[in-house]
Amino acid sequence: MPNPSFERITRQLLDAGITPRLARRLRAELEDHYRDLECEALTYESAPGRAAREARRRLGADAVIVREFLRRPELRSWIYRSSALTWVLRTVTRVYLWSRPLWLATAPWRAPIARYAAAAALALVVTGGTLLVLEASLRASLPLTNEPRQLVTAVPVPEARETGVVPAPRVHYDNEVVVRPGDSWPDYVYLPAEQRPASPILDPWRQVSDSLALEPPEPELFAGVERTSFAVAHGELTPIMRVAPRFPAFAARRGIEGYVVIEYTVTSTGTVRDVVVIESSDSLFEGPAVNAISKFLYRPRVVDGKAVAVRGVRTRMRFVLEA
Amino acid sequence: MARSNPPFMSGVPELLLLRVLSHREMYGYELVKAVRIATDEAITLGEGVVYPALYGLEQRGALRSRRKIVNGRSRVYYMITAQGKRRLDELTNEWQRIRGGISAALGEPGRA
Repeated sequence: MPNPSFERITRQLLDAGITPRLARRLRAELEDHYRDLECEALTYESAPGRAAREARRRLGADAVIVREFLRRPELRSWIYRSSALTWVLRTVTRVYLWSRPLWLATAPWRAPIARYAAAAALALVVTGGTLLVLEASLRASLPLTNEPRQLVTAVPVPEARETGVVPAPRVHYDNEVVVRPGDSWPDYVYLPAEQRPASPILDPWRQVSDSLALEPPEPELFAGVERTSFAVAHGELTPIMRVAPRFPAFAARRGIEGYVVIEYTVTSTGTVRDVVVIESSDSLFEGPAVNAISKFLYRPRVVDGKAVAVRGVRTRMRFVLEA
Repeated sequence: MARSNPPFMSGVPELLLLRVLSHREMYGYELVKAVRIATDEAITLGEGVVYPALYGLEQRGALRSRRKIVNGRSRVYYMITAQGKRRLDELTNEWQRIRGGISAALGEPGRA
């Protein structure tokens, strides 16, 4: 039969935050120590009752043993050693320990089941609450209205003759690009015969024209243009290769559609630089749109027989979910 | 009658337990008897109070424990670790320094 005095000590230690494993171990060791003292006392005490009382006296008072434990904070569970932020967990643990009989907390085969079940329930509550808070904060970070965000104000563009850069009129050379989940590009734009460049000179143009098996254009359409130049005296920007933006998985799961208006510069070699987001319905789509537009290739614009960079080119990318 | 657990005795139980366990592994009851014998009955550790000290030393890595069955009875035996031996050396040096200082203050024979 367990000594009721040791049960009192164990309960006091559990209430004070000593880990249940240490409290259970202390009770077992006190029982063993008490039996050894009782055996020793029986060698000089004739009455077993007096030997038992002598053994209990030598073991020490309950308050003294508990006080010695509480003097050592390293023996307390981490919940009791942590800051006030874990006060809620400490209260829940104390309520659990108070609500269960001590025999359940200290019985060798029941204790793990009871403790693991309580820990699992607490973990579910905390995890579920954390996920709900995260979900709410994510929703709060999404725009509350459908009004587009204006990100860039108009910047005056210098004259072409001064810098060699031609400011493009605010017309969409590549009016709109529609993006759907699962789109996999690049999408090569097949130019009609009269618009195809004479021969590629610079990478990546060489790769593009080789893949398209372009034929040399008719000579009369390119009068005044060097045959070694891939520029065409057409004066328009025409995309040759477009790369599909990645449809954001978060937006696809939430059923969010949107658009992004991007402004950029098409260089004299047809590549894209200085990409800036002008307007967007949701910041989710800006990153994928910028990444994709940076990989676009254009047939450069020709002014006075010379390929020039074109600033202020705008494209609208629309992210839709329906087929 | 000497007062139990006077303030200047803090750290002494730890020193005595490590010193006794540096020879061989022992369990709680055996440890208290060994300390009493080693100190010529000058220091007696509380029978139940020895366990907080042992658990504290084990938490800090100075001791290791295991349960053994001897003569049909299961007991927890404690043994010192390498870290415990280093801790024992530190406490021994500290105690000898304190003892030297106290002896000097009390005026040992032959010292001014």
